[in-house]
Amino acid sequence: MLEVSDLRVRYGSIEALRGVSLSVGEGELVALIGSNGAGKSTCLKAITGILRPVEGSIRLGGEEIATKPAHRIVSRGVALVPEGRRLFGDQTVVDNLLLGAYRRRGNEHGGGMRARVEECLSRFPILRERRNAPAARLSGGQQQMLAISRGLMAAPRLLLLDEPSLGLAPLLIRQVFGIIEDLRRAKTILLVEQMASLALRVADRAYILEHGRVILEGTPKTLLSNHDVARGYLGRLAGKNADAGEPPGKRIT
Amino acid sequence: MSAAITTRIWLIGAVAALIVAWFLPELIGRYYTQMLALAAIYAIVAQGLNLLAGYTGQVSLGHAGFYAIGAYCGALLATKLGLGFWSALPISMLAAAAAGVLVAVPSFKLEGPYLAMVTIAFGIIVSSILVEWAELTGGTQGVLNIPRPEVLGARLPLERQFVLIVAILALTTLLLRNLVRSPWGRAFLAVRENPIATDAVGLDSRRVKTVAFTLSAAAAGLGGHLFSYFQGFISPEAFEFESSVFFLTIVILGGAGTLGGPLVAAPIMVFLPELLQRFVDYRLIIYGTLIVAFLYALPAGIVGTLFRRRNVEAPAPAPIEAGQQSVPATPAARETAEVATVLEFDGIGMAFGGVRALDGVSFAVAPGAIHALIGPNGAGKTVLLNVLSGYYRPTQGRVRLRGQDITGLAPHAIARLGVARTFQTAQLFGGMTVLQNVLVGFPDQTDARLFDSAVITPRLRREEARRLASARELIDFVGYRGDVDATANSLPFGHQRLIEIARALAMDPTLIAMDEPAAGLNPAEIEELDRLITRISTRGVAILLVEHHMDLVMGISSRVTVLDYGQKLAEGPPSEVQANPLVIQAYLGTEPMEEAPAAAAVAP
Amino acid sequence: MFQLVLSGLALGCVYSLVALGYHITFVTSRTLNFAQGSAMMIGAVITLILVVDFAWPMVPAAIAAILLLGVFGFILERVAVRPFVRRGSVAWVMSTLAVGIIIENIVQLTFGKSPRGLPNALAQDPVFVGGAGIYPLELLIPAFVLAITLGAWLFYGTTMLGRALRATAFDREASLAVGINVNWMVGLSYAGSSMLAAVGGALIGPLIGVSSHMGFLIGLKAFAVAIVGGLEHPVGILVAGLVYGVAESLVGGYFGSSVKEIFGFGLVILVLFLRPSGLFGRTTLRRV
Repeated sequence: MLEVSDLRVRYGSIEALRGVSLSVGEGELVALIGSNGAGKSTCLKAITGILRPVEGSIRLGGEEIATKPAHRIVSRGVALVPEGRRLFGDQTVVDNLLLGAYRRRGNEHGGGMRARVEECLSRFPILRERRNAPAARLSGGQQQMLAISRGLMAAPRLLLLDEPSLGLAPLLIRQVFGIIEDLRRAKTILLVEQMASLALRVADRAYILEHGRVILEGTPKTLLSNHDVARGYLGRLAGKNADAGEPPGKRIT
Repeated sequence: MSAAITTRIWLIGAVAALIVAWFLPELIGRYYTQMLALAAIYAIVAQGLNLLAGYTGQVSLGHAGFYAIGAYCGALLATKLGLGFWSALPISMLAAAAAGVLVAVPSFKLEGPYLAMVTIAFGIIVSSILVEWAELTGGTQGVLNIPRPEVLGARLPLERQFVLIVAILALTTLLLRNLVRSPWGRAFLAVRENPIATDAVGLDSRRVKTVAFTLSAAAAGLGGHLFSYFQGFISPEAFEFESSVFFLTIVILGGAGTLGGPLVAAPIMVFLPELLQRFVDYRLIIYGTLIVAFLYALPAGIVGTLFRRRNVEAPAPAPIEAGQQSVPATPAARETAEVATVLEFDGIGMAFGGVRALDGVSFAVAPGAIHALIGPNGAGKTVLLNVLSGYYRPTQGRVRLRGQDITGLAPHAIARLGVARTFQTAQLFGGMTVLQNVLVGFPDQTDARLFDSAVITPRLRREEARRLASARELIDFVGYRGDVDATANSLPFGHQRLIEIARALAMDPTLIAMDEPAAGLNPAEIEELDRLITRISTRGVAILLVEHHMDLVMGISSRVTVLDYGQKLAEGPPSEVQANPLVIQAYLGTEPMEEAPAAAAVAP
Repeated sequence: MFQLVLSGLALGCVYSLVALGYHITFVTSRTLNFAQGSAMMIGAVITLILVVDFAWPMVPAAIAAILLLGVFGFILERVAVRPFVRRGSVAWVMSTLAVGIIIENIVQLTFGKSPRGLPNALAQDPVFVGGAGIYPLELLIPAFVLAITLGAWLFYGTTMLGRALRATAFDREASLAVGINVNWMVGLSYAGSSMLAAVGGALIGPLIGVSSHMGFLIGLKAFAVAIVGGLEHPVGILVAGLVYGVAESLVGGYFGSSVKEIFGFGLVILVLFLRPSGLFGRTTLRRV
């Protein structure tokens, strides 16, 4: 469904992505992992249209979207749950959800939108309880739930999740990833995470990004047993599950 | 083109202008002489405004106020107290300068539209007082019969007044030129380019702004004084808001931040109505359209576009090579060798609203050590650095540098005490060259008297030569092999980092706090960074290193502190920390073990 | 004195109205429409021309002016603001200022320099309230502004467009993420700001006369009101506008008109000195 080829993105003089290629198949949950500054968020922002790539192509369902403005890409069925939630703090839970479906407001009457809001709220009873609270007053975990719901309101073909675990306590992280697990059955998801093992637990496939390039790709099983992954995360720590000999997983560089 | 040659060109130009001014009036007649004289006066005011708005970045829409103060002072001193042109001159300039000091104060805390508002308000207040205080100012009638300037007892005729004005303009321009090429010039540009970095190098931006405002107001006052004596009469009409806009237009049209700009633009603005004689009614419309067109097409103004610094697009990035190996220990380093800890965090707590970003963080950095600070995203590392640098005041706890409590001091003061800082995104002075960026780092440059800077005394020359040599040495030391005259923001990312480090070293610091210096670098560059940090440590400078690249961190640090959720999770030598199960869990996110309170934040 | 207070209240309401225009564009795009004063003036001029020269009734004339100014604002943003913002330059300050000057002078050439009266039934015969003679229009203005404020409150609170505008002002990137066309929102904010100015012009025209120069000082004072109230605080702006209007009226009534300006702007400097973010503003922590 999503086909990214040779993507290059710059921030001023910094080349954040230096030729990234990846793909997400329909119904898959693909993870993008890597250390801070590797370019993961940049990748998502380029896909959504918030950033414009210098070079490369992004195809959604066969259609080229790399140069389209953000609001059109959202209309095509891409929803981003941004890093750090980025809710509209001064507006209520309900308002935030309504805004999530902003692009679809023409297609459905008020009634249809309201129904979907109720549906989202019923999935998260705690949000339903606090439906009229300003988003800034919610706790971290509740905010993450709201952010994900907001993304779902647009009934997207492709859901992009940017570091859902950021700033959350371990227990809440577990909760959020439980939600993600539930979602993976129904949605196509591209998940960016700094916490590698969390992401690998829910993903069908994963790419490892380093310095703006994909350096490794494979299934969670193969990646977890690769000592390079462990090394990337804690320096010269000998990978606990490392196999001596031929490193498994498809090496890109 | 070397600096010495351009200086000669300017001097020759000044002399030539005087000679031309002497003979020109005969050729062009009274009418045009008058207009040129006015243009020269406006150019003087515009030079002052250029210093403030162009070089220091403080946009003033109230300069007519300072102009008016100079004009009315001169006029009233002549008509009411019988003072001559020359005796009244310093008083006019002083009065305007005093007003400049007053208006500078709001600029410390105000920026952008808020500062513009204050300058507008100032301008309007002055012009209202001119009308209202009729007993003093003559109200709407103004002041009449101002005598012409006298030299050696003789009242100057128009043609000689013209020469006098041109001479004063030439002198003002030359003095200004010296000033902007001196350390003060760098200070002005720094304030304009990057307020955060200005603090980080220990420059007191308030002082710099005050000087800029004062000098700029004095120039406007000088122009006003000349205007009074030249015209022979003044009235409040010439000093309204439109005049402030007019002066700013000259600055922008010529090119803000260029010396030649006002010289070129002032005559244009004065003669334009002449050319458009038929369209005199449309004058303001044409002015307005010109402004918008120029802003769009030539944002750097006429002179700025013609003489644009070759923006050196660094060609294939120059390979970063190993720098010098052995460097003698610096004086700061020798001092610290006698102290037990260079830096101490004692129970630091930092809360933003209801969010606890830091909670009871305590650790110490030993002299000459490389101390790493690591932790997952959002753990509070950058917050701690900001507390150290003085950008945040901690809600609890104290920070000590060599035993001295520095908690709550202003950022520039902390920098001056010996704490240098590099940032996640290199905070350079983008519009300044590589060399200038490093030069700004040297301490105590603006302690030099302004007079020294305006006149470029031999002592200043010696100091500058010394600084220049040190700067080149530092640039070499960090391994930069590119063009030192390249503009900072044309540099590739890795090189910007290096220059930021060179600038930090120029401060002769006790400790450098580095915030993710390896971010965005490729593996070869990281290796070079590794060696550079070690070299710096050999110089005796302590380093507090915040990083995610574990290879780098574990390889060169003597000690590692781990933060998680704003609290210290572990501390010790690298090998110990690496093997610590709590640390592994925090980073890789395996089985969550306890229920920590949520750190609720809406947007980072 | 009561009369001065009431007149001041009316004028203050108009300041607030025009000042809210600055607020709207600032929160949505962090830019300011320095042609705001001229927008107000054109609003008054168009209304006058339609009423006096074309014999339209007041209300449709005002509405026409408001709509035209909406278009003006939208175009202004596109032409004089966005090209500069896109480059990261602050030249939009000078360019909107320049546009204001251009417009004022075009009007001056076509309309003439001297003020013309805008006849209005509500500004002809004073009524007497508590011993003070006051035009009904002056009593109506605060009511109007209240209604507009209420309308804005409803708009922002209950319509999708209103929510989208608030979202854009709150977090531009998140708004992009949910598919809001942020450029359009900024354009609309400029349209809205000019429309508010037009309302102000139509309201104040009958009271002070319509001239090409009327927008300058009012625009400036409205800016001061916006700053003093806090650019991001509509309630603060309303309050600041009322206070400024009344204070100015009283000082002007007792001491004369130049003193009034000195007092007004002096007060502005004083407030900013004590509270750099405006009366109701909070200084935000610098993020490094």
